[in-house]
Amino acid sequence: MKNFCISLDKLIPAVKELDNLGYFLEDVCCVHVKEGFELVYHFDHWDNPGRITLRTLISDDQQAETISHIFPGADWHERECYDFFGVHFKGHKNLIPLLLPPDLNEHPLLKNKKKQKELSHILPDCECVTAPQDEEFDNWLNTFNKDK
Amino acid sequence: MLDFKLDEIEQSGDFYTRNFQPTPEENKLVLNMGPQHPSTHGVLRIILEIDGEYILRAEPVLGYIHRMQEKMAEVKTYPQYLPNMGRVDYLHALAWNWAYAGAVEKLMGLEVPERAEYIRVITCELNRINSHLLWWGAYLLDLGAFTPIMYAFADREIVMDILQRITGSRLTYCYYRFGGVSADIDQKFINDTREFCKYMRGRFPIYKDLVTDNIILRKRVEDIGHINLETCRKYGATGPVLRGSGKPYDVRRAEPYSVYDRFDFEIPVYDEKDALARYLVRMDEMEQSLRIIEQALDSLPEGDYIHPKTPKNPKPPKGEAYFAVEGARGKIGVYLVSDGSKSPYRLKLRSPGFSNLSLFAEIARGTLLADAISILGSLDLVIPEIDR
Repeated sequence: MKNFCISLDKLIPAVKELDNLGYFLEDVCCVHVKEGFELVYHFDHWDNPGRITLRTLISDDQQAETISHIFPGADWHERECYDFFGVHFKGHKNLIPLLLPPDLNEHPLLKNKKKQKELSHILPDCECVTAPQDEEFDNWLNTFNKDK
Repeated sequence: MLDFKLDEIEQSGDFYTRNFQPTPEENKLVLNMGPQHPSTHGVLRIILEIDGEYILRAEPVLGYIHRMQEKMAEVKTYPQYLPNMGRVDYLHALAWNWAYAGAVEKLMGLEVPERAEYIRVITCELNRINSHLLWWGAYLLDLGAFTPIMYAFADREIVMDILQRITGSRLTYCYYRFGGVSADIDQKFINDTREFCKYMRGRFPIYKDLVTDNIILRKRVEDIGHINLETCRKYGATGPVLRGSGKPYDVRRAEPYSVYDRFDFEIPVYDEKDALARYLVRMDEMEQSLRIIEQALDSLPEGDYIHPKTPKNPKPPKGEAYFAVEGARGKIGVYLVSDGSKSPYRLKLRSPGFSNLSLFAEIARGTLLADAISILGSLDLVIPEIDR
């Protein structure tokens, strides 16, 4: 089990690295918090089981970047996030409703101001979001490659 | 007199058909398969662009049985949400029970008594056999064989009777609780289950002679719907789909949960990557499940069936937990985020069918329409699980 908070511009290279190492995508999921949207990517490996969680934070009006060109399986997961939260994924080729009716202009999992919680309320070690662990991730990659 | 203009026809159809944008070449047909097509098992719709009998492009359209399970989690308390899990995947309900209960237990640090773990293993494996049996019958129904589903239902009936006595329901089980199960098993359950194991072992040779070795079936499944490992990885396919492509990845082995590490069982795997390989994986898995059940019955410990100090209305501490189990269709995952209140802050359900179906568009390209039915069936789709 490894958990890394990655800054938004480092996310795509990080996902590419995991792809090279033979990880598969479990799911992409989104959590609406006071600071914006927390995107959580879960990966796992067939031969070296152990979940890798990448997370990144975007503000309410920011766009995320698609990883569907690296993992085509992310296509539907991202469409689902768009359905439920209205999060846009830059570069997604077919960002249309997947599960909800196309004429529905609501995003049901958005939380109103009252119900929104700060990240510190749901993440025990939330400091990582303000100080992304890009370096830790690189170090982990190096040790993984060495072990191989 | 018919009075319409050509561009009006092109504008017809719903949002998804208009979005599909057929290629401008001649002699191509856009066909909607489903959402009421019998072989799409419920309400899956696939927009197909076909050239004669060959599929050029396929695009699944989901959401016809979407119930927003994830929103429901946020407005219910933790125990109130338990019955939902049986309705996400009605065929392997107990695995979903387990994934959710496991995630909450993990976050709360709640220990499950050993006897309860054994009961969970036994009932979950019984449910897996039931799920595979229904898949088997329904798949053959898709391919035009009617009799097998009658055999499958006769066998399923026995398991459902066994589980009904303990769980109180026949299909949408809500049996697991945080810290254990809702009721203990008794001697009759144990005797019935042992008898069923013996009976079921006698059925497999019949199925092999009747169906698996049948030349008509072989022609429909052999060398059809090849899925290579790279495609599985890119799309996150798991379960029998992945094991039929030659990778022995099973959550019960890879990240052993509960007491699965105590049992001796094999992970069936086939290298052929076609629909037949996925078929054979499931047939073998049923036999392995019987092995697990018998071992669990042999070593069933005495003790509590539920943790004696389980809170009635749990409030897991703030934090997050991910719990994965091996369902009949693959890796079921529940990602739970808690803010310390009595209902989840966010609950994400990772359904294996969702990922398995997403690769269909890629592997259907260039196949015959009739083979696409065979491929869809071999993926073992349960639409409520995909739509959630």
